[in-house]
Order: sequence, then structure tokens, then C-alpha cells
Amino acid sequence: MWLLDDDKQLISRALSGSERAWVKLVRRYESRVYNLAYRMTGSQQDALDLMQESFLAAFRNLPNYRHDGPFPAWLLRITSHRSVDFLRRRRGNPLHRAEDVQDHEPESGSLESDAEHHQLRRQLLSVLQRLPVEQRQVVELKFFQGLTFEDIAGQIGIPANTAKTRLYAALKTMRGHKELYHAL
Amino acid sequence: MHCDQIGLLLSEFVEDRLPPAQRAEVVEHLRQCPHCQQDVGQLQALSDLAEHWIDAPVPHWQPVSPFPNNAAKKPWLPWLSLAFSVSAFAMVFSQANLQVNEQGFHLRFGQPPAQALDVAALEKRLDLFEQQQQINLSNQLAAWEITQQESNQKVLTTMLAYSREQQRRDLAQFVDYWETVRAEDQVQQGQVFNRLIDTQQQSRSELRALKAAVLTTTTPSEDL
Repeated sequence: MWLLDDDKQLISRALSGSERAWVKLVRRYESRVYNLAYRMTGSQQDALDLMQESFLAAFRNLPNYRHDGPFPAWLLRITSHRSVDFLRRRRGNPLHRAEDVQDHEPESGSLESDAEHHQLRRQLLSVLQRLPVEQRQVVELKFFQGLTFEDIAGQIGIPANTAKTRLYAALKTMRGHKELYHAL
Repeated sequence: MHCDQIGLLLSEFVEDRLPPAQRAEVVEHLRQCPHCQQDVGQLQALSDLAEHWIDAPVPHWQPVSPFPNNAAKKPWLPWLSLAFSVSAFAMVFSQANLQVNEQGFHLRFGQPPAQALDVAALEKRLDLFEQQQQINLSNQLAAWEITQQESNQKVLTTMLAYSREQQRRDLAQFVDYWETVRAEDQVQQGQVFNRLIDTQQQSRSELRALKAAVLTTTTPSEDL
């Protein structure tokens, strides 16, 4: 609750023109935004660009934020929308190679468990990158954001059954790939 | 139900959120459908992967400032400007009176309050003023005397230098004159000597002639 109140204060100060308050909000939620963007794009650089876009979009829409839900959920909703736009734009770029997955290299001397996480993350990103953007978005919202089909439907602006259909289509797309099982 | 209908229910089946009747239908279908069994496995795998996902570290990045200009970065700036403006108007309308003296400046709004005349304090200030004036006068006189002495010294030095130069020139003229006169005297003396020598020569010739004449005159008598 204190965090929510603190977010409120920071938002209020940011709306009053305090850049410091806005940067504090950005630093507080950059990890969640970046990881969502990273799962959606599969690229560090694209994730950074998308994160930059998302925070700018969030700031522009900040006066419309009504405090009717947690700020991070609102922020991630914007990031999810921006990621779809971003990926659609990128799809039109002939220089982009959709299969590339650029994962963070584990630092030398890191623990074995870090290397395992690195491998797991890499396999998951590889699977996600094979999905069409709309299906990837549903997988992200369903499993990583923990939303129900009704929430997903409300957020994307589609019927709940369409959300279910997209998830099922994603499952069918993944049937031929063994990375998911290897990751476990 | 066939696979496409079951597939839409699988996620809720895995989450155990289906009504019993639908759940029984899904269970029945799964017994005989390897594709749907694989889908259930994928759903569980995705769920586990999401649960065990560890956030990747955010690379170093610098958020772009969404604030358009410096004024937005300094929200106090317009307020400060406004405060100064209001202060300026207040000073104008309240007839602010600013006095600057040796001790600093004094800002007064409106007319200064009337003060009772303090004769003793006034006399004290006058005495102080007189003492200060005397000190100033003494200092000025001392400075003037020093200046005067310096001026006199300069005039004396200049006069001495001038006089010395004049004496030197006079002496030089005198020496020139003396040498000229001596040279003329020597010439004249030489001429006198020459004339005297000539005179003596003439006298000597005349004496020889006289001697010869005398000798000539006396010789025959002796013969007699």
C-alpha cells in the first residue's frame, strides 16, 4: 500500500514537472518493462528501444491515468500495446532477421545456476520468437502477466474467445518444437 | 467434442477452472488424443517457465527526458519570476525608500517616522564632525607642505643647475676672450720687438757710419 501511495506521489510530482520523480518511477519499473519487451522482441537492443518508447508513451498518457489500478499494470499494458506496434513495424524492415535471439551472456565466473537460467531463457525466447506477434502477446499476458482471458480480452480489445483461440493457435505452432520440453 | 473445441478449454483445464462437466469431457478427450495431450504438456511447460523466469538484467541505458524544455525541469523558475515581479510592484506602490550610506543600505517603505530632536546627540555629532574636519584640515596642510617642499626643492635644483651651466658658459667665454687677447698681444709685442730690432739695426748702422766718419776725419791730423 505504501508503494502505491509512493507511486501516487511520484506521479503527481512528475505531472507537476518534476523530472526527478519521473526518473525515479522509470528506475523503479524499468526491469519489468524491459523484460516484457525482451520476451516480446527477443533482442536486447530492440527491448531497450521499445522500453524507451513505452516510457515516453506512458509519460504522454500520464494525465489520463486515473489510479483505478496499480501503476505498474497500467505501465505494462502500455508496453504490451507498444510492443505489438513495434513488432509490426519491425516486420516491415527487410534488414531484420526474425530468428535472431540475442540473450545476455552470463558473466565469467558466474554460478552454474546463472548459466542454467541463461540457457532456459534463451530457449524460451527462441520459442516465443517463432510465434506470430498476436499469439506471442497472448502468451505473454497469460503466463507472464498472469491475466485471465477476460482481462486479456479487455486489454487488447478482443473477445475472450478470440484470446483463447490465439493461445490455442500458439500451442499448435509450438507442437513441432521441442525447446519447451528441453527447457524443463 | 473435437480437438479445436477442446483446445480452447485446455488452459482453464490446466488451471483447474472448468466446470465438472466440461472437465470430464476434456479428460475423456485427452485419453484418446495425443495432440491435445502434447498441448497440455506445453501449457504446463509454459506455466513453469514463466514461474521460474528470472528477470534479465537491464543493460545500462539513459531514459530520454520527456520534459520539453528547461522551464519544465525547473518548475520553481516561473514562480520565482512571479515573486520578483510582485515584489517589484509592491515596492513601487508602497513608495519604497532605499537609502545607501557608509554602513550599507537601508530599505524603507513609506515615509520615515518623525523623530524627536536630540540636542545632545546633535552637539556630539557636530563635535565629532568638527574634530574630523580638523583632522582632515591638518592632513591636507601637511600634505600641502610636503608638496610645497618638494616643489621648492625642484625649483632650487633647477636654478642651481641653470646657474652652474651659466657659470660654465661664462668661464668658457672668458677663457676664449683671454686667449684671443693674449694672442693679439703676442702679435703686437712681436711687431714692437721687430720694430725695436729694426731701430737698433738702424741705430747700429748709423753708429758705424758715424764711427767711420769720425775715423776718417781724425786720421789726417795725426799724420800731421
